[in-house]
Amino acid sequence: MFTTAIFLNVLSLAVVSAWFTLLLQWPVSRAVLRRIPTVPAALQKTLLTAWVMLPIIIGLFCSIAFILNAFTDVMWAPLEMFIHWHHLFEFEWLTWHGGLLGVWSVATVWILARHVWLVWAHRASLQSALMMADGSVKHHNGYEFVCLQTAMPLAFTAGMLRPQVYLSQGLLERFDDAQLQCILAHEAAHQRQRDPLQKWLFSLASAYYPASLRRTLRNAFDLASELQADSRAGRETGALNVASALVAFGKSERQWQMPLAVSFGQDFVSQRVRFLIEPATFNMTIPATIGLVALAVLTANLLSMDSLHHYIELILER
Amino acid sequence: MVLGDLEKQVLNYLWQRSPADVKTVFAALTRNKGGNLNTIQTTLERLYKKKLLDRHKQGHAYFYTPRVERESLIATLIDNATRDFTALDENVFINAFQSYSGQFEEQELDALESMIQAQRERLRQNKER
Repeated sequence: MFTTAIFLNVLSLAVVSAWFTLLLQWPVSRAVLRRIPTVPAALQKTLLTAWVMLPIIIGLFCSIAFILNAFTDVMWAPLEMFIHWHHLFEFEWLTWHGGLLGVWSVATVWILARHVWLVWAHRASLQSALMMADGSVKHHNGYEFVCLQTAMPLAFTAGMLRPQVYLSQGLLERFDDAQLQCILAHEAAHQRQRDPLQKWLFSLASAYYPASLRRTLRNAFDLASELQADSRAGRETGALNVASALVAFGKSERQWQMPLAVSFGQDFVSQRVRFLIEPATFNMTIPATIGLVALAVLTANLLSMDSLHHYIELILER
Repeated sequence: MVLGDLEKQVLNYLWQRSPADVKTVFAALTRNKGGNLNTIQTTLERLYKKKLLDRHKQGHAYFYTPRVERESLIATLIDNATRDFTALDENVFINAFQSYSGQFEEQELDALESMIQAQRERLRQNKER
């Protein structure tokens, strides 16, 4: 009984801490996101992942700190004033703690279910498309891909655990060998990095953010994935050749008035070409800034959990 | 949208010869693959409900014609595979080499092409020095 109460109390504290972190991140997120594209693509993805994982990491950290303080003497004495438990061995569902945990549980189950359903829906649509377009495995200069029998210029990577590269017959006929090499190197980079799975996981981790911020975060991650695949393809085939292939692809697809769309448009392509021409160089300013924000948020969490608890109880008592 | 193998066969037939009623489709498809009249009738009905076929009554029978071209259907299916996510949350689990939106402005693309050319020229000059 005690064990269940402790577990639920610790979980409840982690949830409060994660949501408090999210609230503190919110006003500074846009400023941080604006600066992320100034670093290399791989670092962009790492920083964005760290940013969306921050509420979970800090929630866990706070829980561990409170547990250590309750059961050991390792905590720094002055900090003990701020992180003591009020009712570690009791947990009642009909309190604000229980309500909060209930809301979080329902939200988490909903988010997980929706993400699993999205993967299924995506797979089903893709399989239908592959069947209609008579997909068959082909090879080109050492790259393996599924060829779709359609005149539209298509090139994409899909699949969660075993991603596959898809190219259309229209694309093969329209582009020369050098351009195809760039496109295949780009898609192979997505495949190697398991980008569809990474995007899915990022989408899951960012699901608790408010809608507009969530969209910005996911777009930033999408762009970073493209930039990373571009730069890897650039290392194999030449950055300017990849940039030229991107522009050629853009020109070729302008002729198609099909209702096809993915999340990025002209700005995205423009940014990618610019990034290929002038790649970002590593600088410590952005990672250091994010590190400092994380430290400030962690400190704010540790110092305010107790007073936040009292404050909420005070409001509810009135 | 999810499509099955029989639906594909029926569509393929109707893209070549339409309008056709259930008996004509059944006669053509059973020559190759088997199946029965009811299955073909259900498949036609399903495709009609998915808004992939149009139909008009002639005597006692419905005659079916495709509402979409093959290329257009493939485009829609691939679009669904991505838009299922975008519609819900602007999120995409397919990594495309580039957008299919066809919204790139020619001028913007020309400007990017010039930038690439200028960079090639700069690199060439640097190499020569």
